[in-house]
Amino acid sequence: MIEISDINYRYGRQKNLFSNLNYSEKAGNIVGLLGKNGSGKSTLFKIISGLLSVKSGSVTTMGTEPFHRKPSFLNQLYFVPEEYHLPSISIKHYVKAYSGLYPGFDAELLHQILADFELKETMKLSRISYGQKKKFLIAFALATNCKLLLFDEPTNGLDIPSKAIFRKVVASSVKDDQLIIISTHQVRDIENLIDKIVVIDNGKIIFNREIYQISERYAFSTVSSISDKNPLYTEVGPAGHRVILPLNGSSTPVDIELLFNAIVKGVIL
Amino acid sequence: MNDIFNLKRFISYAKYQTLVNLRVKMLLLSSLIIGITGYLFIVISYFTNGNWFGTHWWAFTYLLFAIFLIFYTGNSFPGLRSKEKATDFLLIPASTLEKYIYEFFERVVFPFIAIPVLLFTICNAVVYSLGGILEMNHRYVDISFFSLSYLQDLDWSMVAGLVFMFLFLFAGGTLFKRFPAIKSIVSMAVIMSLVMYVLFKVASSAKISLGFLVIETRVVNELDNQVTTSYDFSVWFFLALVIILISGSYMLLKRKELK
Repeated sequence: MIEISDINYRYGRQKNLFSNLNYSEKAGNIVGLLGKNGSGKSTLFKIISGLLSVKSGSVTTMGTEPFHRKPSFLNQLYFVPEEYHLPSISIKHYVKAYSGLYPGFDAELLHQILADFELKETMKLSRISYGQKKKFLIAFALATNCKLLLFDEPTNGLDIPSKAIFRKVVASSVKDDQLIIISTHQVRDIENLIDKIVVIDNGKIIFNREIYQISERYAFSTVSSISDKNPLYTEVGPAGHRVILPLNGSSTPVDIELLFNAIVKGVIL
Repeated sequence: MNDIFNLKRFISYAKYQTLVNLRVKMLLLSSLIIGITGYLFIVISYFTNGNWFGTHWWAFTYLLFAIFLIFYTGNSFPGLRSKEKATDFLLIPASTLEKYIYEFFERVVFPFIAIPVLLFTICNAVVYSLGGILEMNHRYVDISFFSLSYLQDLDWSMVAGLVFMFLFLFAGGTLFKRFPAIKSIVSMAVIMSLVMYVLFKVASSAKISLGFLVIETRVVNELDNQVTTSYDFSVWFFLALVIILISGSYMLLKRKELK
């Protein structure tokens, strides 16, 4: 689905944001793209979707060079950016105007997700809140049935119940031939949703593993004392020490936040 | 499906653009109708003492074109004005050619149809209404300006100049992110000044007349070869400039990045 080889990218005369970055991804996954602020998550999305061109290296998305922005490519890609523009028309009119451009658009699925998010079709896009706009865009994106869905900070602006609904609708809507990449720095929002973690730091992909691979090798827990544990990584939390340990026994849920902190602090996992 | 141009997709794209911008377009159109009607009522009935001739119509028509040019055509590709809008515009599933053709029709072709139609309709309505309201027997409002016979009197070099200006301001929309109309006008003034300077330099060194800018074809044919040559040169030169403008702005749109 995505093949990126040895790309270098920089804005203007700034230093390289990406240096010989390599990344590939297949369909059928919900990927969490994690990284610190300014690590290049949004830029990577722009390159994958064809909004930016690279000076060196090669990028192939769904078998085509994305920067050509061919309609047959664009109608299989939906990008929900962090900041977006929506016209001042009702949801109903927006759907009427826009859905015709996506051949796989599923109106029934849209109605269902809109209902989950408690959005009415008569609502005017200019009069609803930032969070409601985001919910509408997420619903629309899922209803397009595009093969590649890119969500940049989708949970920003969502209230707590909506974050849970977001996880539910994404998990229930995704199909085997689809790839969903969710970029976020609010890692807890995508816990129990993603099946793969990709971490980007200092212009490179420094971690790229499926959740089951992580849970097969590591255990995540909170302990009162670490003296006899020999942890791979530890952080002091309000309830004690949060630790990553080599798995020795039954698997535990992956603590994405702890894992991310360990990775960006250079702990080799 | 063809990735360069597909009629069905183009219609879907046009439908999308129309529906999404319908409110703004209706607002613009109604403002224009109210503006023209109000202006004509006031000017014809008070300031010109009811005497409104062909020359007045010409001036008014050119004024309307200028307003359209600056405020409408000069702001072509509004989808490129901000990052948020550009993300949406560039990723809409339509080809660059389809997006370009739609914008070209809306910002360049449409004014050349809409302005005469609007003028014809509104002016006739205003003149008819004025006749009913005011004492018109000592006044003369000539609306025969709108008859086809007036096409013979058209100064085609003016029309060509107008088309060129429309194309220039339209093309500027793909190049300039902020204040495209103003920047396009300034660029056009600079480029045209340079072009005229070079033309006059070439013409004076080759000792040929530059009267070609205003001489009509039939006159040119009666003159010597040197003048005819310079006339042809100017036509080809401006044609080349138009082709460069259009293809250049298309390529700019095709290679547009969201930085």
